[in-house]
This record gives sequence, structure tokens and C-alpha cells, in this order.
Amino acid sequence: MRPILEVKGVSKSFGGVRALDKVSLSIEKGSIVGLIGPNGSGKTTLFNVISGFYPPDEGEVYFEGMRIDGMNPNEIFRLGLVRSFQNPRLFQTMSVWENVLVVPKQRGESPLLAPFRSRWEAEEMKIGKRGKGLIGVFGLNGSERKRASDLSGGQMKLLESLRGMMEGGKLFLLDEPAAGVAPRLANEIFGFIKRLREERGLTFFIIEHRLEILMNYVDYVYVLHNGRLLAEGGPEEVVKERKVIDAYIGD
Amino acid sequence: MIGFDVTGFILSWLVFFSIYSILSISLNLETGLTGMANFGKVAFYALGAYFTGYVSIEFFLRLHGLDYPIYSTDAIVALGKLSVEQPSLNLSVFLLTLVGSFLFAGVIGFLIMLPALRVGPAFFGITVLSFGEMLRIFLRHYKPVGATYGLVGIPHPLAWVGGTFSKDLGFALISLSLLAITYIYAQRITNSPLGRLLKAIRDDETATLYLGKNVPLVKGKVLFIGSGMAGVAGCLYAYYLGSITPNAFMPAVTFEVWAMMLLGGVGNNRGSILGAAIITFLDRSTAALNFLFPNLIIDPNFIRWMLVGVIIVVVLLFKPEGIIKEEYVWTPAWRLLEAKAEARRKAFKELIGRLIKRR
Ligand SMILES: Nc1ncnc2c1ncn2[C@@H]1O[C@H](COP(=O)(O)OP(=O)(O)OP(=O)(O)O)[C@@H](O)[C@H]1O
Ligand SMILES: [Mg+2]
Repeated sequence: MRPILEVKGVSKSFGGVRALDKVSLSIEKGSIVGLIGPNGSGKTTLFNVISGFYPPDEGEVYFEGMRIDGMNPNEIFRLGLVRSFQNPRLFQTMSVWENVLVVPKQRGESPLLAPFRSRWEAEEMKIGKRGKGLIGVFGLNGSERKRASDLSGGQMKLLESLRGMMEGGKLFLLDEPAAGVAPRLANEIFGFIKRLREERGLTFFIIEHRLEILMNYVDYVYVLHNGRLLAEGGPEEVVKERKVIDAYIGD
Repeated sequence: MIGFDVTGFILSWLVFFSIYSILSISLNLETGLTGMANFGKVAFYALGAYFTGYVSIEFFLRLHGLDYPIYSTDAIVALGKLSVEQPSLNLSVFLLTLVGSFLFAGVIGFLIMLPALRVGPAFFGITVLSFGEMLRIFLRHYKPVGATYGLVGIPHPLAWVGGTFSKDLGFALISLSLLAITYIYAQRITNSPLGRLLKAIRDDETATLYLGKNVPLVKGKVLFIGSGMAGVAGCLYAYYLGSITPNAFMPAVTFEVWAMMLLGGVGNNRGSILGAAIITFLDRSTAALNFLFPNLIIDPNFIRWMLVGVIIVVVLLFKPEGIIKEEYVWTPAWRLLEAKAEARRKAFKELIGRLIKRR
């Protein structure tokens, strides 16, 4: 079977900085794959290219066999490729609850149906129940009424990942989903990710700085360094590789 | 107070209150809720007014086989006569121009402003502001709509009603009903999944795009509806005054509407109406002042414009959220949270009950 995500020879430069240099990688459906690398190695840039934030200078990106580089972010999301941001991008003036409810496409978004509550109430309740369940999983119970801007940094990261999971995603690109989150909760989140993979066959591609946490949950790891793919393989092997250790110490 | 007509003052205030409330609700929809800073509101107000004036005059004249030029004295005299003859014609032309103004201003708002959004949020405001001014200058020079003279003799929908009082009261009621419809619609969509989506776009457009929303399409729809509402306000204005000139549509009108939205409170429709009520009251009062004391050293109209500026500055500095604060989007899904809290309260009561029993 074809991998769910294929990145082929992707490069991206900003002025003189070559943030990505002919990066190729692939991700199997139903796997949890880590992306590590020192600061500025191009990890976020790779996510930006895959999710349609900007097109690559060269190379191609395939999602479920379909070429997606050059597509708009909302089209890519609709295909089932969901991302979160390194600096959470929440709807700051809205409550946690609204941040969750707003995600799924719903009938009440139409200017013609919106005034008639009976036309969308049932659908919204269904969305709400789903949201309530996810809020429990992410430990945000009791914060629903808070303004998103009043959350702690860790809670913001949690809410952002949660939001990404509100609607039919297949592949999740999570940019440091547990940054600023206490280790215990971080482990819970990764545990939940693992469960989602097992129960629903979802696929995850995750940037995480704390290798000691990441190592327990991923099947495979890619290492970026100066925009190039430095190493790849199972988590245990990769961290032992000389060049990986050098890259991290050199950082 | 000799000669000052209190009833007339109130009725005229009610009409202006309705017109400006519709404008501020529409601005709040585009700017307060969706975050598109529309500094060209007056243009779509003007389009509604001119559509109404032109179409109604043309209809009355051409239907009666008269081919006077639209701004000629003959035409104005004829319109005065024709408009009291056939109530059903007045009313059907009114309905036609009402719907027409909405669609006309709405479509042009969509076509002009949606591409203008591409220049970025800061330049969008300037672009639509310029569009409004260009439109006004165009109207000043375009003969078919009367150029600087504008349109005169617009047939009032209730011209056939005997007595100024009944006519004005009737028109005030029509205006208030249209405001009610606008308000109910705006209020309902604000507290709906659409309202939530609009605020999401306002808060973080990029993130909204990454959640699969077709942001440009949603914005386009909002611009259509918002401009359409402004068109309806323009329609009322044209009928109420019976004549319109290009200079009634200066950029200052836009700023007045902004002041209403800011004063009442951004992001909520009740605030928009409250702001409109306060400022139109000041506006009508200065107009009355003008009438009562014709020899004032300062022209009350200048006082009015100064007040608008002062209100904008004071509100932004000291009470940026306005008189009424924006609320969350209330939809049925909030009940799911209450159910939980309710259950917890119940469990807590039971626990207390058991503890007491044990004693
Ligand atoms: N929009 C941009 N404009 C200019 N330079 C950029 C831009 N985005 C990234 N860069 C540069 O590209 C390089 C890679 O950045 P990127 O954010 O992808 O790194 P990262 O691996 O995510 O780092 P971190 O671990 O700090 O998040 C850096 O040198 C960065 O300065
Ligand atoms: Mg990064």
C-alpha cells in the first residue's frame, strides 16, 4: 500500500536561508512518526509546506496518493490532513467551548439557515457531545467558559490539538503538542494519541523536543539538521547514531 | 419654544434612528464580528438611496408615458401629482425598490470589496473609503442621476395619505419594522454557528483557514449582506427626504456610523442600536437647535461633527469595549455544560445529605 504521506525532494528557502534542502520522507498509514532536530533545523517549515502555508520551491507532496503542494490550506484540511501550530493560534476572544464547537463544518454556518435554530440545533448538540468527550480526554474540564486568552501556555497547546481532532482528520501534524505541558499530562496526551492510533487507525507526525517522552511512543523518527534529513529509523537506533548526537550537542 | 413641533421631532428622530441603526448593525456585522474594517459604508448607503430614487422616479414617469428628463421642473411637478393618485402603485414601487436596493448594494458590495480584501486589512479600509469618495464624485458629475442637483421628487410610499402626521407616523412605523427585521436577523446569526465562525475569522483568519473553512467565501457573503442592509437604509433615507444629493454621502457619514458602533459596544447588535439611538438623538437635537436659535455663533452642525470625533476618541481611550460588552456566542450546545454542572450539584447535595444522616 502507498504511504499516507510522501514528501519528495522538497526545498524551501527564505532569502539566503535554505530552510529545507531536498527533503524526502514518507509516513505509513496508522503510524506515529517523530520529527526531531535542533532549533532552526526546518521542522516547522516542513509542516508549513505540507499543510499548504506556502508552496515548496521544488519537490512534491502527496497525501493518500494525491498531489497537494500548491493547494489551499482549507482544501488540504478537508482531505483529512490536520495541523497544529508551534505557537498556538486560538480564537482569543472566544471561550474554550466555542473554540471547540467552531471546528466542524455545520449547517448553521449558512447565512440562510443560521437564523433558524431548529435547522441546526440537533447537529450542533451532536458536535457538542463529541467536544465534551475530547475536553475530558485533554484534561480541560471546567475551563469551558474561560476565554481562550486566559488559559495557561500548556492548556493553549492542549486546546489547539483538541481542536484539530474535532473533525474527520486522518493525518495529524502536531508541532510540539506537549510543549509547556507538565510531563505527566504530556505522557497522558501521548498515551491518548497512541490509543487513537490503535482504535481508529489515525496517523500522527509529531515534532517534540523532549526525546525521552517521544521515544516511548513513536514507531519511527526522522532527524532534520540544517534543512537536511540527517538520519531516520526506529527511535532506539536513531538516538544512538553518532551524527545525531553531534548535531544535538553542536546545537 | 414657539413653533417647535415635538411630535415631528420624535417621528423624525425615529426614522433616523431606524436608518442609522440598520447602518450600524451592518457595520458591526462586517467589522465588529468579522473583523473587516469597512471605512466605505456610506458608498453602499448611497447606492441604495440612488437606486431607490432613480428607479422610483423612472417608474412613475415612464409608466405614465411622460418623457421629461429626470431632474426637470416638469418631472418634479408631475411626480408630485402622480404620487397621490394610486396608493397601490406607490406601495408596489416601494417594495420593488426596497428589495432592489438590498440586492443592488449587496451585489456591488460583494464585487467591489471582496477583491479589495486582497490588499490586506490595513489597505482594505483605505481602498473602500476611496471607493466611496469616487462614487460620490461620479454621482456629482453623472447627468442621468441629476449630477450636483441629485434626484428630486422621489415619490413617497405614503404620499397619498392625508395629513403630514399620519404620513410621518406611517413611515416611522415602516422604518421601525425594517429595523426590527434587521435586528432580529443579525441577533440570530450572531448567536449561531455562523456568528461563531465570523468571530473566529476576526480573531485568527489563518487558523480558521487551517480548520477547513472557506474564509474568502464567508467574508463575501457577509459583505453581500452588510452592503445589502446599508442599501435598505439608503432606500428609507431617499423616501424620507424625497430628494437626495451626492453631498449627503460624505465620508463623515461612515465615521458617524463607526462612532455609533464603538460607543454602543463592538461585536454586539444591541450596542449598535444603543449607539445609533444616542448619536441620532444628538444629531436631531442639534438640528432642532439650529431651528430654535438660528443666530448661534457656532453652527450646530459643527458641534455635531465635533461630538462624533470626541465620542470616538473618548470611547477608544477609556472604554474600548463600549457601553455594552460583547458576549460569547450563545447556542444550544452550552446546555451540555449546564447539564454537567447540574449533575455535579445534585451529587454534592446527595453527599451532604448522606453525611448528615450518618450523624
Ligand atoms: N517565514 C520565514 N521567513 C524567513 N525565515 C524563516 C521563515 N520561517 C523559517 N525561517 C528560517 O528557516 C529556518 C528553519 O526554521 P524552522 O522554524 O522551520 O525551524 P524549527 O526546526 O521548527 O525550529 P524550532 O525547533 O526552533 O521550532 C530558520 O533558520 C528560520 O529562521
Ligand atoms: Mg519549529
